[in-house]
Order: sequence, then structure tokens, then C-alpha cells
Amino acid sequence: MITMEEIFEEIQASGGVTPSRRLRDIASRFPERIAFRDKKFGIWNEISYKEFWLQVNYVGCALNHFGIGKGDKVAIHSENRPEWLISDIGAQAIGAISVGLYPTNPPAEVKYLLGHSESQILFAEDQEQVDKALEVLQDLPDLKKIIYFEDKGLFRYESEKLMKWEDFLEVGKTEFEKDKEFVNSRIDEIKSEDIALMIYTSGTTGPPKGSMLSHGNLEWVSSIIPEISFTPGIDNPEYLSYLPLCHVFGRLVDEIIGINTIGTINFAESIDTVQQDLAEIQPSIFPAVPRILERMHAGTLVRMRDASKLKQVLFKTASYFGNITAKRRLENPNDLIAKITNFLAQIIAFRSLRKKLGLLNIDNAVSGAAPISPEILRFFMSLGVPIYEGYGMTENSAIATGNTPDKVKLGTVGTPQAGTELKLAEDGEILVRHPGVFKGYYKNEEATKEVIDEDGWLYTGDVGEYDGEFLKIVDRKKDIIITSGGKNVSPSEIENNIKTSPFIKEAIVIGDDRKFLSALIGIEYDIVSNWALRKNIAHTTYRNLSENEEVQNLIWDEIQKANEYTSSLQIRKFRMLTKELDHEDGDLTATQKAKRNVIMEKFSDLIEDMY
Amino acid sequence: MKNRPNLFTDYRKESSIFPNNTQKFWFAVLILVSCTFPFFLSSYWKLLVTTSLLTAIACWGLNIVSGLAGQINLAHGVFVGIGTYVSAIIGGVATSSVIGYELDMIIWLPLSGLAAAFVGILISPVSARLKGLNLGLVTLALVFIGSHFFSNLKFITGGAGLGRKAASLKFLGQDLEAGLQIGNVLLEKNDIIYYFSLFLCIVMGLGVKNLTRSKIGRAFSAIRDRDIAAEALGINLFKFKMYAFALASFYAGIAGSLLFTIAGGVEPGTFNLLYSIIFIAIVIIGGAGTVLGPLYGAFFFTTLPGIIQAVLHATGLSDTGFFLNAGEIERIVFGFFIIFFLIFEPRGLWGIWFRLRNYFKAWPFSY
Repeated sequence: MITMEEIFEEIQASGGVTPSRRLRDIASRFPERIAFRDKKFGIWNEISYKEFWLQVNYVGCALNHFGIGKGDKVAIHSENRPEWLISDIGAQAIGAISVGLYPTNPPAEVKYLLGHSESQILFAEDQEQVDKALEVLQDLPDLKKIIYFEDKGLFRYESEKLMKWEDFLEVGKTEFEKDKEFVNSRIDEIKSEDIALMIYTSGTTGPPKGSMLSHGNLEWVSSIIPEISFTPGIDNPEYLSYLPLCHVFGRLVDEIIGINTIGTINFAESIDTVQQDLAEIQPSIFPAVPRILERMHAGTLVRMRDASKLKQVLFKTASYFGNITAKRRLENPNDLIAKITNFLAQIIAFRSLRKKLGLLNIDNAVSGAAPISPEILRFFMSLGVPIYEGYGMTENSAIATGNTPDKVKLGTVGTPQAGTELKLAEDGEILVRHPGVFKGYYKNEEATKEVIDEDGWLYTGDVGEYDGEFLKIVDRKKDIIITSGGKNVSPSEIENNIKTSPFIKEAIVIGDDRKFLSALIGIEYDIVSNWALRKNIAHTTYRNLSENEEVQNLIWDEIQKANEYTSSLQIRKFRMLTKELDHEDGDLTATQKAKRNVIMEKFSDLIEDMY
Repeated sequence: MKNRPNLFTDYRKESSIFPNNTQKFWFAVLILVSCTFPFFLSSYWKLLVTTSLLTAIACWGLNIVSGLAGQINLAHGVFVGIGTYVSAIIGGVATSSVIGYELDMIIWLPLSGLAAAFVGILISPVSARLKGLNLGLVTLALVFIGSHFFSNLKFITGGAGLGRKAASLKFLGQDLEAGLQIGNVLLEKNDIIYYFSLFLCIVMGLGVKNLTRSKIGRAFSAIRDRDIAAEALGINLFKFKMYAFALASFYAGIAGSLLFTIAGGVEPGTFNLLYSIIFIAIVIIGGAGTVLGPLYGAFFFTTLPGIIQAVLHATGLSDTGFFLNAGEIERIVFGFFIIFFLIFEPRGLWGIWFRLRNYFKAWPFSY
């Protein structure tokens, strides 16, 4: 067996390779290592690296059989599952370019993404995704084949473009038997400047843009794995794949770090079962988005409220110790007193709590993809979970800055990652330069020029404060609010403070060109409903509950609490959103970020009512 | 998998008897501690523990047919009696009035179980036809039929009021009646019975546990929960009810064969209705339908007299002529517990254990 230290040494010696090459290497040296576990009917089915590599060969051969060559696009529209990575790497291996679609993308977006990317083959998960593609098929002249992973409900479909995954692999196998070295030779032909994949940014404004990442970008990311902030230091790492693979964060962790560290990637059953899957897998590295961490935090607090008195008292004691731990560790990671308080807190409650949350074996947890409130991070730190906020975006292969165990400062996104140059523009915009900066937006020269200058600096669109060591993100440049009094306010900081409350799911701060700040609030339905039941407040729908006077009072109290933490202006008024925000209605992006301009327009009457 | 106790990669692991090493460890500790009992327990307590172990085996039997398969059986004591007498015939000493062949334990132990199972199979067609109260009445009749035979087959049982000697202990040609000398350690007869009982208890306990996770066990549960639905699912009621009665009687027979070797003799009047009802009470107090319940119940029931006596002794009540004697108090306490458990904890002692375990399992939450 190979230790993580040896793997790191190897990576440093080889200088980073693209995933398909790395996979080929592992399959020949450690064929029996478990690459994937996929939960079906309560059992985690295992797939070895050997099998993974073999299937990648079949996919490569089959794609070639259907006329996919170098530079052609292949789209994948599925939840995370082994087939996702197999088809992705299969496509990359023969020089094709893969494009990921979000499972929640409605037909109109599917049409746009497939059409814009000129995808020729679509891997669709099941009937739902196949239906979306068939609905817009007549507008997609390039699309030759739709390969589906699950045949449930698809027996009577008659489109000749449809093909079952198993049949597709069978074609690949026949081709593979004819020329076993085909994929091998194609991998050898891959050059660093070739495009490996395209990631469509969700786009809070305007249509999604396809960011092209080259094999060179991926190679560079691989090469710095030993040094980046979210790398597991322990042997035989286990990963839980639940962040969408079509998003750069999920792809970075599972496909690049996961495979490079010869890890086992466990696929969560679905986004709803992540909590249970986490508890079963107890992963070594936990890439998280704020939404998930907020839910875990809220869930813990709410369930603690239901616990018996004794348990509540013990939990409070543990939290007291935990807070000391977190505070002291932020100053000195190896603090002795922190070790003692952590030990006590673990014994009293936190060890079993971490076990329930699935965070027992965490070597490194990372929060990324969106800003998070420091309070949430502090909570997890007090539990003894090594959690760090990082910063990156699709356009720089998700690598820019990160907090690390020895260098951590709450409220900042940490220090620049290895090999990353960072500076601020005159208006405070963060500029990043490293070999992982993308090759440009597909078929959009103009937008590319806006974000990359001649010297290779990437204009991130985020405004930050940089003291030469730690970077603090203020907000998206276009989101910053300037009140009519002329004060600059970062809405996301206030919003995140408000969202620390377990009762609040969405908060949108308003105040651009206004006299004071206000907020639109969306409640966490399950938790508020539970709270209301205890108070004997009858309610029916989301809207009914939101508009209840007592709920409004509760929310106002929570906002007041958040106001105390906020350094800038205070929220003076709020209104409740009358519906839950949703991707399909266009309120949220595929990554569940609120589309500010859409919401402002949709709820303009609520907003005007406040001023 | 290390550090990941809930990660199952196949169904075999998921349904294993001891899913993790902690359980294996504590089970091993329990067995080791149990093995040392004869060296420090007084002969009275040794007797109680041995009786508890054998009673537990009999109760597991009743638990299979009533707790798992949901069939009322008021005649469990009769099957224990059948086991007792089969072992007494094969392994006992012949006298002028009773027969006995003085054969080896290796023969009479399994045969007594099989004979009881055979009788169980004989009455199982009735259970396939009847259910609920009607089945209860039939098994009640069985108690009286059994009592009649036990009293009148004098060449086997010695007759009412007289009784006969139980089977003698001879194992693989070694006569164990006088005890066994191993090095410097002398094992008395009762110590040997204790070890036999412990061994059987472990094996048959694991047998029940194994049954609950098998196809047969699941069929039993289906029949218990709704026989019509079970039949619609393709479960052959006749076959599985027969299995249930046969297995239950087998357990009763095995327990019966050893149960009276401790005292040495047995009187046919023992196997009356009350005797059968005690088994039901134990299963209810312990927790019907659970694996560990009957074990808890058996220990509770058997050691209760010992505990009551100890309490009486400690409080000095036994000397001062309290208006109830120990036996009466015992029955009152036992009756009280039956009512208490039926009302407050239908899952029995096991239910209390279950709650206690969940209290810590859910830590720091409450669910």
C-alpha cells in the first residue's frame, strides 16, 4: 500500500498529470484499490480502479465509434454517480471535451447549454433528463446520441437516438477488443494546451458562459495537491461525492484530488440522504458549501432543543469548552489548553455528535463556493472539526486562496494557495494569476477579454481587502450596495449573519440608493413549522406560515441578533418572501444562489412597501 | 471497516449477528466471566443461574412460536415434560417400577429435543387451522392430555406423587455423576451441568438470533403481523407454523432434558397448567419477540426468590414472623411485575434495556 506522503512525493516528482493519465497509472499499479462506492438498496457496491479504467476504455472506444474525435463535445446530464466520472474521463481520454449539466436544469436551459456547446453525445441519467432532451431535440442538430444510465420508464421510447448505457459499453467493448491500445495512444497524444472540459458558470446575470479548462490547467492543479489547503493528509482517503460534478468545486475534489490521491469516492444516494450517507462513510475530506453547513448547524441546534434536560446541560457544557477550544486554536493551532478543553468537550458530547454528523474522521473540511458566516465556521471548529474557508472560482480552476491549519483567520478566505499570485486592482477587485487560469469562455471572445488581461491576470469580479497575507472578500463587485447616504455596504456579509439563524434560509439585503437597509427573508420551512407546532400556531402553507405575526416576531428577533454582529449598517425593516425560492422558477441559479435582480423585480411590491 | 461501522458493502455484513467488533468483544467478555462463575458463586446461586440458563432455553422456544410467529401456546410446559421424560428413559437408571437404559448424554440430549419436536409437528396441523383464542383452547386441552399421560404412564414417570430419577450424566463414556477431576480442579456434578447449560444457552441463543435474520424468521414475523397478508406474499402458512411449533418444542425438549438433572428427580405433577403459564409470564416480562428478552426474563424469574430472600434477610423480616412468607411474597411480586410490564412496558425488560441503550446511542440528541 502507498502512504499519502509517498503519493505527495510522487506528485512533486512527476509535476502533475491529467486525470485520465493518472487513472491509467493507478489501474496498472493498484488495480484492486476501490475507486467508487455507489449505494443501491442499502448496500455500497464497490468498483475497483481496474474496472474504472476498463470502462473508461470502453467509453473512449464507443465514443470514437460514434464519430467523436478530438475537440468534440460530450455532455453529461446526471446526478453524481460512477457513470458520471467514467464518461467524463472516457471523453477526456480521447481528447473530447466534456460539459456537465445540472440535474435541475429545465428544458430551456438544456437546449441552451447543449446548443451553445454543440454537444454531439449526451449522457442522460434517467427518464427525467431524457425527456428534457427529447423536448428540445429538434433544435439540436448536432446531437447524435443520447445515452441513458437508467432504463426505468424508457422501454417504450422509440427515438433512434436513444441508447442504453450497457449497450453503449457493449459497443465500446467490441471496439476495444479490436484495438486494445486505442485509448492508450489517444491519452499519449493529449497536449497541455488542449481543452479538457467546459464548465458552464451558473450566471446570476445573463445566460451561462462556458469556461474552458485545459489539460494543462488540470495538470497544474494536480501538481500543487501536496500544498493546497484542502488536501487530505491521511492514507486511503474516503470522499463523499455529493457536490454537483458539473460545478468546479465538486469536480476539483472528486475527479482531480480524489483520483490523484488514489482515494475512494463514495456517491451519496441523493442530496436528501447526504446526512445519512455522511454518517455511514465518515469521509476523510469534506468539501462543503455554506448551505449544507448552515443546515447541519441548524439541525443540530433544533434537535438539541428536543433533547432531555440533562443532555441539554451537558451539550451546553461541551459548547462552553468547545468555544474555548475554537478561540484558542485560532490564535495557536497547537495550544495545550485547547487540547484539554477539546478532550473534555469530545467526551461529554461532541464525539458522538460528530459521529452522527459524519464528521468523525474528517482530516480536512472546506467551505467554499459561496461566502459563509464566521459564526457557522466557529461552531464547527468548536466541535473539533478542522474546517477552513477557501476561495476560488471556475475561471481559476477553483484555486485562489485558502485558510490552512497553521494559518487561519476567521472572516477571511485565507492566504494565496501555492503558486498563486494575487493583487488588488485600484477599485479593490481581486486579481489572480497562476497556470490554472482558464483558457477563456467558449465562443465569447468579448467576455474573455473582460476577465483576462494581456499579462494573464484574472479579474475575479470580487472586491476584497488584502493585507499581504490574508484576503477578505467584501462582495461581488456588482452586488455592493451604496445607500443614498453614500455608504458602501456588502450585502453578503449581512445576509450570512442573518442566515446563521436556524429559522432563516434566504436573506436578500436591499438598500442600493435607499435611505436605509432592509431585507427579504425566506424561512426554513421545516424548522419554523416545527417551532410553530410547539407554540400551537396553526398553519397550512409556506406563505401562510411566513405571514403569521408570531413568526414575523421570531424572525425580527433573529434579525436583531444578526444586527449586533454586523459592523456596517443595520437592517431596519424586513418582509417575508411569499414563496420558496426555486431554480426552476428562475429565482435561484443551479448552485442555489439567489438571483438578486430577478428577485428584486419579482418582489418589487414588497420592497416598495418598505420604503 | 475500521472507523466506519455503518458502511456495509454487502448484505451478509449488514445482517451479521455481531455487526461490529465492540459487540464481539463484549460478548466474549460475557462468556469468559460466565465461565468463572462456578469458582466463586455459592452452590445456591450456582443452582439459580443454571436453572435460569435452562429456563431461558425453554423460553426462547416459546418465544419462537408465540413471540416471533404469533401463535398462542399454553402447553409449552408439556413439551418441556416430554424432553424430561425422553431423557429420563434413555439416560435414566431402571428400577423395579420405571424403565431406563442408562445411555450416554450424547444420545439422550438430542433425542429428547427431537422427540418433543416430533410431538410439536403432530399438533401443528391444528395450529394451521385455528388461530387466536381457539388455538389457545386446543393447547390448553393439550396441557390436560399431557398431565393425564404423565400421571398414568407409571413405567415412564413413576406416577403422580412419586416421580422418578432424572437422566444420569454420562458424557462420551465418562461418568460425571461423581464430578470430574481436571488437574487440581474438581468439578462437581452441578458445575458440569452449569457448563453444559451455558454452552447450550450460547448455542441456542445464537440459534434464535440467527433465526430472526433468516428467511424463516422473516416469514414468522409476517405470519405474526397478519397471516392473510403473509399468505398473499407467498408464505406457506402450514409449513411455517409447523416449523415454528417444531422449533419451539425442540428448544423446550432440550431445556427439559437437563432442567431436572440438577435436582436429580422429577414428579409428573410439575408439568401442570401453572408451569406452562410461568413460561408465558417470563416471555412477557422479558420481552416477547426479542432475542435477549427471554434470557432477561428467565434470570429475573429464577433469581427473584433468591433476591427476595436476601432482602427479607437483610431487613430482618424473615425472623419476625411477617404475615407473608417468602413464597407468597415472591408470587405477589411476580404477579405485580406481569401487570406492570403489560401496562407500562409491553416490550418487557428488553424494552427497558432498549430505551436505555437508545438514550446513549442517540447522544447528545434524544432521537
